Amino acid sequence: MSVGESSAQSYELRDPDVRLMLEVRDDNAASFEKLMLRYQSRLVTVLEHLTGRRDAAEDLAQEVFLRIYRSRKRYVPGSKFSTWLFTIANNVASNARRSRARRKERNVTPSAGDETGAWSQPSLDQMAQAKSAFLPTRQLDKAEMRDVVQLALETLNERQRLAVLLCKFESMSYIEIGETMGMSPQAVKSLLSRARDNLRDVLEAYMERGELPTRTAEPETAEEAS
Amino acid sequence: MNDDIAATRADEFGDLHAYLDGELAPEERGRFEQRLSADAQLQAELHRQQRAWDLLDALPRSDVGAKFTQSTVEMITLDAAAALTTAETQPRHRWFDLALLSGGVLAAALGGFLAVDALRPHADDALLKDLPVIMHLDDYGRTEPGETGEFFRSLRDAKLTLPERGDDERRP
Repeated sequence: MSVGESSAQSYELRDPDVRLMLEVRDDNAASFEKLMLRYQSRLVTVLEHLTGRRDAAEDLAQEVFLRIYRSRKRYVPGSKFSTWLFTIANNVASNARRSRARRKERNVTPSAGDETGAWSQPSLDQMAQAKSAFLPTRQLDKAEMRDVVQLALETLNERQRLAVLLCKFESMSYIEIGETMGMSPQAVKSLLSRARDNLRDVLEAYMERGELPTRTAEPETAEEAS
Repeated sequence: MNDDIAATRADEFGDLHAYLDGELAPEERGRFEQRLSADAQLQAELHRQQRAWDLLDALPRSDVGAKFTQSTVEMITLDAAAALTTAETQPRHRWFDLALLSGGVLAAALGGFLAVDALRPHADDALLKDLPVIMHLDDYGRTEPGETGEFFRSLRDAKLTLPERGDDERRP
């Protein structure tokens, strides 16, 4: 038995979603629906925080499921199913971002901070402007906290944001995040370390001095892009 | 010196993030916890990091309903049907194209061969042209001096004249 075969069998034994996907490979539509029901909300959550838009997130999620279905016959378990799914999601989101960037280049002169094709979030920006008053240290209500944390997340560049979302929402290990994003575990450690520091700085500034996060994501470092 | 201290602190804080993410190996974890218990600054940083990380729990989770599932399934069904239609028609087109291409290649090869064959000079052409002379070659050998004029007249009358000089020179 080859290493690849034993690895595939090991994932099949450990991960029930891998077993479902193997049934999908054999054209079992019910298994595909089960997988969709298990992952659709999780996937849309990550994509919505990544893109900042619910409609875009749902479109991308549908594209992810379509790709999974199209590639079912070639499926060989090489990782946990969730890692495989979010790898596809990362590719789909990256392609969409590049397409948006190309369209912007063709159609309009891009504004500052929007040159990378990053997803625009007028509602959050408007909210930030509206809440520009100084706020003393205090207990924030739930809705306000949610808005501020969303803004804080927006200050991260897209790779940092995705790493944070996969770590926080999907409880992925550095190795799994690395597989999803095409990075080494060491690079993921560095990426997440910078993301955590940025979040702490931004959130503390708001909690202690009422300074609202501004949506100026810092550029990726060479290490993060590796 | 200050740079060394800063680098050491950065390493410790890097380990702190890995500690919070549960990414330290058991022995690394043990060493880090020992340092942590003796380092108030590291404890404060751990608390700040943990608090900021916990705030992410305030982020809303999307909950897509049955409508999303249904529209996705419909989209995939349509895509699968389109793929099936393409798969049914495509092989026939491929065979047809292949047969057409093969026929074209064969026809072109045959036409080329015939054209080259028609234009190529054949070794037998000269022999065929001289055949009437060759058939009477023995008669030419028997001609006596003085009979030449009458002999050639008879040849001409019999339409068996030798080619003129110019023709010989042009012949390969």
